[in-house]
Amino acid sequence: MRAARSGGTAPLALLRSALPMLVAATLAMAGGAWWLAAEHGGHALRGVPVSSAVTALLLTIMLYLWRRARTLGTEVAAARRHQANILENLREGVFLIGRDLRLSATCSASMGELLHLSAPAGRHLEDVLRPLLDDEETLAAALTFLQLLWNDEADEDAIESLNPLSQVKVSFADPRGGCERRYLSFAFRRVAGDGSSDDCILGLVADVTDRVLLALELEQAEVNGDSQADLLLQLVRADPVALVAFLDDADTAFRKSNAILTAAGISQQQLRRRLIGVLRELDAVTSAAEALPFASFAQRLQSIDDLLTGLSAKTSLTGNDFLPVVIRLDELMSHAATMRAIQQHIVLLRAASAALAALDLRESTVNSAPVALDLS
Amino acid sequence: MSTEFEVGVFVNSVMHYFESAVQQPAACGIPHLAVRRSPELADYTGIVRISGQRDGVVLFTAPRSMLCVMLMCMQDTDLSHEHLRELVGEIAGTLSGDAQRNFRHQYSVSVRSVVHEGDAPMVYPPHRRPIVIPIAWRSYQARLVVCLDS
Repeated sequence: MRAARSGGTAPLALLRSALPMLVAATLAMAGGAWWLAAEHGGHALRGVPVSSAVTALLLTIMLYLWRRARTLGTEVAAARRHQANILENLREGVFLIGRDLRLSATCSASMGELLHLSAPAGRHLEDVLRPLLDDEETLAAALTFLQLLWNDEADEDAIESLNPLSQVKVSFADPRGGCERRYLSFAFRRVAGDGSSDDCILGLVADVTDRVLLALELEQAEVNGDSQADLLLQLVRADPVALVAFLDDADTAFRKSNAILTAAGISQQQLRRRLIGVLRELDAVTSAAEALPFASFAQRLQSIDDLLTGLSAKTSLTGNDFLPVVIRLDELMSHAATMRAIQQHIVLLRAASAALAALDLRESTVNSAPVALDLS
Repeated sequence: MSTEFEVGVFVNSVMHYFESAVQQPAACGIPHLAVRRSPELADYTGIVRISGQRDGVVLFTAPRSMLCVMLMCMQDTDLSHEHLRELVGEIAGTLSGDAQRNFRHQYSVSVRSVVHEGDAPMVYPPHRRPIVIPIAWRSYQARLVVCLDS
């Protein structure tokens, strides 16, 4: 960018630097012409008009320089167009930060979209980041990190590992009162200019929400896989009769809780009555789950219990407050259904194994029976 | 992205529609699950189908009387069947637009459609319990139904 900027004045600079050379050449040629004229007795050479030759030579040089300047101008314009194209089409946000931590006017078009900024030029980075970040600590760490980057003695590679914005969760306020959560990745690098006043920090920002969400899903899937294996072991060890009785009771409690929520009416009194009703229904299941060794089930029940307790402490309730409760209830019902399905498989496997054992026993009894003697 | 957040986006979308287009806010009732039976549909239902990382449907179903009053609030005197369909389609469009804006990285939102009472029955993702959110507006009751597989 610096090259392009300085390149804009290059044709003029070239002409300016070529001017003394032109003057010198003109003087030299004029001197040569005078000497030639003196050599031939003060008369011009026959057939060679000296002044015309000098003028022609000068014109050729000037034409050459003009062409050269025009070529350079075209190249500079092309470079500018390329730079504009790059900044216009980059998916990542590119921006420059000055020593005062203010954004320069040079930035990619996607930067505004990524950071929800309409006019980033001249804005202080702190003002840009503050509405996006949830906590002040990250913001303070980011500013300290950028100050560190300006330190001439600091090891840039070592500092890079301290970047607190390498993956950060941001929230953009929604005009409707909600907020949009995204994950952004910032990278910063100090760029040295011709003089220290030309130094700047090159910033890059990219939306990595997809990558982060995928990683979180993978992590969750791994945790679920482990808990499924644990659940299977717990179910194998559990008393089948007690387990079925517990699952039946839990299913009834969940359905009753849902029926309580289904009833019409959204006055404060009605909402609070429903809340207490659901708490009571689930309390009974929680007590039963604690008696059985099903950690995953107890955890889920605890989570819904915490939610309901939190809601009961609120002075004013809305129907929307119950949304997390319903979603947890749905998860609990799905979990109970999974437990029942696994338990049924275990029962079938046990029955099949018992049948095989009985078959083996009968075969071994038949083989070990005394052989009857043939009377003939 | 959590189910809670996703359902919350759809609820806010409908609430905002009532605030901005009808200029009379609606109230969100207590959500519940449609267990072992499909949610009851009212006279007109706008449907948004979702596919990608999660498959499912989002419905807005409202009785004719409610839609007529909504149109009147919007200074519209044409209460014909087609116009009522258009209104429900517009609400489904709002849901679809908000889903595209918020979840464009997770899933795609298909073309919305409108069904009238007595049309073909709704098909939900198997083994899922749709979440029903009652929407109370004046003395009328509509429903937002969200059913996404995990």
